[in-house]
Amino acid sequence: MKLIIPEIKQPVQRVVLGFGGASIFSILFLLSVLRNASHLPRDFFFFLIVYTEEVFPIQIIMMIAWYVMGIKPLANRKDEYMFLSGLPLTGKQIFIRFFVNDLHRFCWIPAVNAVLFSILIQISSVNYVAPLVIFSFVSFLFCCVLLHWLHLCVLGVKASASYLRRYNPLSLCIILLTYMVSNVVFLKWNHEFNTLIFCIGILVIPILSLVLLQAVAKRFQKLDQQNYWLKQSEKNDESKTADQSAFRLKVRTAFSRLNINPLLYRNWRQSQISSTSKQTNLLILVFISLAYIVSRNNEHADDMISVLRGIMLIFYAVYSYTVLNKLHPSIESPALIYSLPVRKRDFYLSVYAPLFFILMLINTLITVWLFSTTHLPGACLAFWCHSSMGIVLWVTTSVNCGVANYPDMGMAKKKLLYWYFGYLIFGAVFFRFVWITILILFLLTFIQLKRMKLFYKANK
Amino acid sequence: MNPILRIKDIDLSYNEKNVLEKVSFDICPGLFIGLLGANGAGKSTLLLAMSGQFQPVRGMISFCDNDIYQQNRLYKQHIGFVHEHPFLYPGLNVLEFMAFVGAVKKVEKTRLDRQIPELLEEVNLTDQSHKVCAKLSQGMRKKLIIASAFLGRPRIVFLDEALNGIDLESIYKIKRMFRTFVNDGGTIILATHILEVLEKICDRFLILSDRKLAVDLSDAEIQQMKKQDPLFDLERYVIGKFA
Repeated sequence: MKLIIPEIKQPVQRVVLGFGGASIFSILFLLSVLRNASHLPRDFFFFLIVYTEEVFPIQIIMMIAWYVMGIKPLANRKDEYMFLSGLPLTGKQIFIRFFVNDLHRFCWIPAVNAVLFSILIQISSVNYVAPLVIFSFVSFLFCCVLLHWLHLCVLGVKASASYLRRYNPLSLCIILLTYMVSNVVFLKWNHEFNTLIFCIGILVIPILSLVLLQAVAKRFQKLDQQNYWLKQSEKNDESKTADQSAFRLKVRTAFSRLNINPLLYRNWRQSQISSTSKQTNLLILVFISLAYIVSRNNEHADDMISVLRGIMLIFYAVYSYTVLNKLHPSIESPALIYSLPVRKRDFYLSVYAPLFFILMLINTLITVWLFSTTHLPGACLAFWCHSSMGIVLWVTTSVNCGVANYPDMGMAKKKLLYWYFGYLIFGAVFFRFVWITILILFLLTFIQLKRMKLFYKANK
Repeated sequence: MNPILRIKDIDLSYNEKNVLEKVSFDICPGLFIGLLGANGAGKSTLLLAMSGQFQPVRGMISFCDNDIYQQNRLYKQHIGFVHEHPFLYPGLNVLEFMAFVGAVKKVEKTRLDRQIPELLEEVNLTDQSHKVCAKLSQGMRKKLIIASAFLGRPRIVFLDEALNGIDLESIYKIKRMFRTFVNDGGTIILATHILEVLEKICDRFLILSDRKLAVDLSDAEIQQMKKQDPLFDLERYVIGKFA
């Protein structure tokens, strides 16, 4: 099929180049597999360690990024359709253009996946890794076809109405899961497939993809002949503002309907653009990398756990300190808060509940990673318990200072530093009586919350 | 008519410096009240005090016979406030901000769904409803904060220099919205320097001068003065009171 427009050729060339390069690498890997057909047997435990430690977290991030990219409005697809439909092109050609564009947009996914699998070569053989890399590319191609097929042929006319604007989230979810599960299954039972079965499978998937692609292209052409896409475009233009208003309004006010704390929602939205949140995320990354590197340098598991515990406790303290920035007047205006009927409880929960949740999540993830590395359940449980106690202590101290000094966050930060200094000096005492300390802090916070008023007090 | 808000002998002070002393007046529902005064006369402070945001040193402010500083949160559910320099959350868009204020004020979902587009239309902001607050101009910010103040049908709305920086067409629409609100029994208290605006829409004028409430004048009284003296000029009269 010839695509006659020069602008179209560019992405096609890039995709062909990308897939061509990947295919050459794949063939080379395949040749090495054919040369040495012996597979190393891998038990389930080995698989679990390798997978959870190296591949799984990055794959999860990849999938989230893929999903976010997918549900974002497709830039100019509608305008492009209007332009292309005025040219001597068939519906099939236009569809192929969109499909190729998609491969181009998403082809970083199999590439990253292939690199990830290639990392396993340090603990495995080429025979184990090569089929994984090849499968990653082929299954991606199939999933891309599947996305279009689900959207246009399976979910019905109502769902296909959004084809020129954005992908159907359900189709996206299905293909993401298909891609991920198929790759994980192949990773786990890689050694079960002999070369012949593998080669047949690798040939069957593209053939199946081509068949599906043909069906989707036909469907697109049929809708094109019925002027369905033009009608959709016009309809979108007419009711763009009104429709979007209604849609966004419905979605964005879900928190009020579900009685979710609106301040919490605001914090969440704020964290998506705020530079302070980006700095905080950077802080998390730096600390976790530091913890990983330092703990890796300790050969003994007990030393490693101790070092990690120390670093993570410092991290939790620093993070609890930086959270006070969220209450700073430039971010949370006292003027606005004082003019609205804000509940004190909602106000503080919106800042400290996410803080507690994030810290506990990081703590749990680090403990899981520690367990997969050391295989010491008792020590890991103790690590989790100590760190959790530290988290509760830091968070309650931070709440205490935040409540007592609002809106003067400068003073709150100063007082928090005094508390930390006190903990440092009387560390042993505080950690021996940590529950009593926490209880006292809870009581203090409760009393301060009771006394706190959300208006400027009389200056007598 | 029973007053909705009663201000009794209040003293307001900033950093141990008295801004207002022994100020007393009542506010009845269904009135548009203009608050005037020279720079630093205490207009904004008085608005903050009346809206439950700045506790007086002495005296009492009561809403339907309840102390507004005792029942602070409950009182704030019945009022709207527009600051001179409004603060908006930069990460929220116009609709989200409106929904946020509505949720804090505990406005029911169905009412909110109906009110938000109506109010945005009334302040001429419908086209900007998806714009993030950070990208709004000063005038648009003002319009948004005005619209949000009227969410949930408050009993009293306090406006501090609310019409500054807004374009003419929008001012016309907003003034019409104010009048409808007042005609339906709501009360608006507007602090401003623009006398032309007040002269056309206000039912009552409060003038602050020398840390006191110097003048409390109704529109009927002004009309009476105009009848008695055909050369009567409100602007000159007000400036005279400032001195």
